[in-house]
Amino acid sequence: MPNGPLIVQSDKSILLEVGHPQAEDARRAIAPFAELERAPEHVHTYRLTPLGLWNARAAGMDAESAVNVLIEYSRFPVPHTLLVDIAETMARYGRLTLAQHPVHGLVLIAHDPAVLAEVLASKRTAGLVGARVDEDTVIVHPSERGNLKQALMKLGWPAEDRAGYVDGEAHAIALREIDPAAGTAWSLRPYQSHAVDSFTAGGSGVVVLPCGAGKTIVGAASMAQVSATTLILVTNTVSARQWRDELLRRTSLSDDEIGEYSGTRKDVRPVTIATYQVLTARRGGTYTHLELLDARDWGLIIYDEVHLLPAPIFRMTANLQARRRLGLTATLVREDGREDEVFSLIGPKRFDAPWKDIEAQGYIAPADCTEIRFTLSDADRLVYAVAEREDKYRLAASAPRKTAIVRQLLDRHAGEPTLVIGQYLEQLEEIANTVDAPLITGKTPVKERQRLFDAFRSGEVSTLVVSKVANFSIDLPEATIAIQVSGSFGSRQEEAQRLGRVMRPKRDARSAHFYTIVARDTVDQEFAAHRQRFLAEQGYAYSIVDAEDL
Amino acid sequence: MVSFVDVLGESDESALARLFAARPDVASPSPGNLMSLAARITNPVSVRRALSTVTTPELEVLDALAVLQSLDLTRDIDSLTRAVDCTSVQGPHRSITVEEITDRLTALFLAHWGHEGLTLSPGVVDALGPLPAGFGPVITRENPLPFTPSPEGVAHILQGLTPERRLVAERILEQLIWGPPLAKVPHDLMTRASTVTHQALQDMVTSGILTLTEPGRVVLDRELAFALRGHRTHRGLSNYPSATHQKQAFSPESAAHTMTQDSHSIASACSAQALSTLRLTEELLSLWATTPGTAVRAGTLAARELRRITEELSIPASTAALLVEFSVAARLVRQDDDAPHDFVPTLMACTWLDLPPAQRWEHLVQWWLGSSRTPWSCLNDDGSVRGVLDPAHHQPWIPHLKEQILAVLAPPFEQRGGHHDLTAALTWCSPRRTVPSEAVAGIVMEATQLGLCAAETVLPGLLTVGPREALEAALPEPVDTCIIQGDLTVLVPGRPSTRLDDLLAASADIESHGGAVTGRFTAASVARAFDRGMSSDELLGELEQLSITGVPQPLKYLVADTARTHGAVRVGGASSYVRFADDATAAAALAHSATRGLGLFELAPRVVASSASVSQVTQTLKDAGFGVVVEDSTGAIVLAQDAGRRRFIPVRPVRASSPGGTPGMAVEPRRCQDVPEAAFVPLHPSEGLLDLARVVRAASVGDDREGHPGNGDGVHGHVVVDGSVVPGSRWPGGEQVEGSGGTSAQPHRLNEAGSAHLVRLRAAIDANAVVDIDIVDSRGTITTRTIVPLTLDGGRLRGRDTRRDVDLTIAVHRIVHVQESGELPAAPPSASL
Repeated sequence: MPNGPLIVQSDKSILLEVGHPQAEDARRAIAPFAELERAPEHVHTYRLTPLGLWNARAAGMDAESAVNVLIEYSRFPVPHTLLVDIAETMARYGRLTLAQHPVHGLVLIAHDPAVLAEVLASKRTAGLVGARVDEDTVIVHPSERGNLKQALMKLGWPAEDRAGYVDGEAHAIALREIDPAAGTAWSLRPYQSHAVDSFTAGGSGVVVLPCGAGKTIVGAASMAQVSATTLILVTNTVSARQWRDELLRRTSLSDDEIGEYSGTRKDVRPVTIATYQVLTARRGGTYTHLELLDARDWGLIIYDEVHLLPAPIFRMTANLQARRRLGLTATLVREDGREDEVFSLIGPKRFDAPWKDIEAQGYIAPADCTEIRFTLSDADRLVYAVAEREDKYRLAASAPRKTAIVRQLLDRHAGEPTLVIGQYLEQLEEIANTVDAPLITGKTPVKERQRLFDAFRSGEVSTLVVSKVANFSIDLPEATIAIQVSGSFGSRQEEAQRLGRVMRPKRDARSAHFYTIVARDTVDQEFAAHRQRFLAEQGYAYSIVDAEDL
Repeated sequence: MVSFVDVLGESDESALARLFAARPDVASPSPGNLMSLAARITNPVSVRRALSTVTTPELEVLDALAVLQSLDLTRDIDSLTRAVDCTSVQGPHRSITVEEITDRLTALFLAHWGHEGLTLSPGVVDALGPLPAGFGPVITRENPLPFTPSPEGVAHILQGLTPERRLVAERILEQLIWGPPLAKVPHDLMTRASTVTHQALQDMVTSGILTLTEPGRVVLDRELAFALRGHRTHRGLSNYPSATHQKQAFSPESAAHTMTQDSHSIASACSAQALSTLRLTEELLSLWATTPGTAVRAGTLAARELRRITEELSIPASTAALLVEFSVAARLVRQDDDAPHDFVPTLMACTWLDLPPAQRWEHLVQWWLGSSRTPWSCLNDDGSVRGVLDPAHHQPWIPHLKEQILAVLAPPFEQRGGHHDLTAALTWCSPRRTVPSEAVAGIVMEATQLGLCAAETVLPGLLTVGPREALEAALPEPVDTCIIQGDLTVLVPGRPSTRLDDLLAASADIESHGGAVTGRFTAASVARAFDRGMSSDELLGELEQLSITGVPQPLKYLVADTARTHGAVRVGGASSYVRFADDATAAAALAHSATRGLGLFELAPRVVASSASVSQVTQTLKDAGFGVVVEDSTGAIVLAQDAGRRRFIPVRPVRASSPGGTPGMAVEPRRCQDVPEAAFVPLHPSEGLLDLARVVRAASVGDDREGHPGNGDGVHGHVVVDGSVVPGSRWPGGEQVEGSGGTSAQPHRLNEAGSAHLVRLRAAIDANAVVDIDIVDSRGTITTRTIVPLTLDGGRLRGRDTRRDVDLTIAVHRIVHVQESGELPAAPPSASL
């Protein structure tokens, strides 16, 4: 195919020309085994990684199909070494299988005795396995199922887990047909039901959906499929409440059936929503709430925001390998690089839909990203120039001029629901005072938060000034404008969350705006460059304007 | 018996010249006359070397000749054709007739036409070994066989056995007929009768079908085997290994092959690889031009240096090792004489860098082809790389093997009809030379890295039009457009044109290469473009012209923003500065005619910098009458750094054995066009070789031409053939002419009589004749012995004194006279194996 839409580079990146007539076919063909790295307007870049290839193997794809796809759609001959590498990497998955033996229970079976010999000789597997049954089989202590999978992943021989799951305590859960809040019929969106099907077919794994694409609904539908007692792990209390509301709205579950297990309440019910924080809380060096994991015979465990899963939860999850696990996230990218643990402990990626695809289907709103640059006053520049390294970001990010610009922007979008997001409380307080808007911080009581959010939804309040708490799992459906005045060092993950705030579908199909205000020639601008790159890579229109031109 | 010298005498000049072309070892140093030429041709080392160049069917014909000759059968083309049971054989490109094969063998003087037909030259029978074509020895019997040596005769004998013994006997015979003709049996075979097999063997030995040559071993007589083979020596000659057509199970290789079947994809895969190697080599050179590579004492590249290259160039260590070896072989880099631990690019590299890609590649390829380095020796099984540029990593036969491999891989895939086993093809081309498989794999790896071949097929046109034109034809059309995106990345969907390449090299950080080139604009990369003298308008204008997607707003902003800050801080170089107490003195100094040569320029009021040195400025100003004081310069004067610090050193002169160079480096580059085909190369002797043939012949026809130039047989040292010194050999060691004592670097002068003795002795060995030899001992006493010469090798004659019944070994240089004895050989040696 001399004119295909793909160009395969020797550094294992794959370039996809978006405007090519075959681009969509090619995208569908490579999506199972290549990770989308960036998706700017004309050429998307995918990358071949061992994890991506193993995800594909786990989904039943073989090396031959992967190689054929590349050959079929590639514009230039694919480097031979790369094809060999793909085949070799993919062949590593599934050489070892975890399975149930009728006599010995959980066993590790090798299709290649040499591989088994290699992994057993390693220090990492010491103590995780028991006696050799025969040349190809070794007994695994059931409690070490997760640890062994982790160790094998580190050794580069990821095991396929076919040992199955316990059914758990059955509990009837069904999806409602009528949304009681709106009083109208609703149904799963096509990609949502696809995600649920992929998960139930695979047993365990991660569903990747952009913010606003309805991850909670995918969770609810999965619970209905499994129809068993469920433990839901979420990032914070607000998010827990949100889950509860959504479950009540979408499923047949009643208020009594849903328990909350958090710092304030400790109810264990057939469906229990717990925060990561409470699970990882320690007293005297021991985790005090671990019993929750064994409190019931859970049939399903849902991990919300997998990319934020704290390390202790990984260790706990290692012991829960016999239960079905569903991970939900907007991005598999973890700032700490623990993607491989997600793969081995929660499971391979079961569904992934690029933001742009879902946006194109009209389920999330398109967003315009604008960076506004202003120059620090001469006095501020001098202060900044001689400041200590660690103070520089704070100085630049909380420059007084930002308040004026926020004001300007609010005037421009007067009446539209607007969020002003920042990191420094002093700055946020000042802005809140200046523009006369309520401020929500970590200190704001949950009740007060809920009240303000409700007011914001109903249109009573058009502007909210929020701190970091806005980053995760709060649902502000009517925000069309987000103004970021400061952030935590341009982290990609934070950016995804913030953009998520303004990306919910709008009633009147208005486009959403995401503004960031940046002090020129400072570290603020450097972080903005990361942000610009991330957003442009996600395919969002990004422009930079001077504050003077506003 | 026609003497071999006479055979040579009957050959014309062109035949001799062809011989010299095919067997360079007999031509250098100049053989002087036919007698010494005959001695060289029949020298066992030379014969073995010649045999190592022949192909499988040629070797089979030689075997057939050896058998026919030992059975005293006629050896014309017809009977030879019957013996090998075919008239032609399939070669790599075309079918080759038996006649062509015999022509080639006679050209090599491995065989010649005599009265009885085609006859093997002296020494060849020995070199072929005792069991040619799987035939046993010729057994001389006191009593004739009790049956006619024919299938019927044998069948008749077997009929007489019991049915079960006959069955076993037939199976034994079946095994022995087509060789190997030997069988191991119990030592007491004739006295034990334990099994049917033993009884059958006993019967066969008693009846004379098999012969017990020594206890525990039976053989099938050559004459009988020949008859049983149906008066044939072979069941047809071996064809060139045909390609494998069967569909293989899936493997990445097979997938890659399905992709790279047509010559277009081979060409594009090769050219992509060639460009990538060129680019990496350039990067290596500029890396070493700024900070030289480091070597450990032995001249091997330091391990940390290899690590540095892999990190700087982002390539695996194995690729880095090959790149370094290529660069050294191509004389682009060498150890600095002044700093022996430094590898520094040569002046040749300086020139090389300015050449167009195809020419640069040609340079790399040709030097590689001539290099006998074995870089794969430094790659270990566990993937680690040790001992890059190790002086010990070279083998003299590597260049020849490289040529052979390229020739075998040269035909386009579709003409080859599929992929065949490279090793099998190489074995067919020279069955007598065993090539280590890792050398074959290593050379294929090198060639693939260079872009000479892809998927085991050579770049089309490489061996016909040469690397430069082949690459030029293979390079894709340069692309003159790019795609610039909002995330500040740029993509060129193909090979960038020179203009685009220069622009991107100046203004973007290149991120990946391959089918396309991708890069990213950053503030630093844009500033780099400004450093090269572009303005922001120029840069944006160029990008606007070349980008098919326009210039996105963020990039415009980036360029404008970078331009705003670019040049806010300025740095310049000065050698000295002058501070004046007041404006008037400053004006006076600047206006003074004497200071014009100092290159003074005003930096600020009353501060002037100069490009001249402090002492020069001081002196000039003093001479002009100013009251000058030299300031204390601690920390005040910052000398401009020598920005480049790039240095290049001259290429070391090319010598065959340059003492300081890396062993195994080529003496001269080789042209790909000169790579011979895999087999059956027409011999086109050069004018120089024809001249040599004339001289050799003339010296032997009786003309008194003592002292004729070129007739020195080595006394003049190097003999110029073909306008250049004939390279000693591709096989150093064992190079000395027989009888030279093996120690002197200068070829030993072998006089005519000496050569004649050797020729006579060899003829006697072949004929199993008795000779009288006069031997001079260390005191000068001459004694005469009558012996049956057995072997002549390594400067020593081994023979059997039939009168005294002892074996003796005589140094050839002690033999002063040889003549055929009137005596008949005593009891002929029983079939010796």
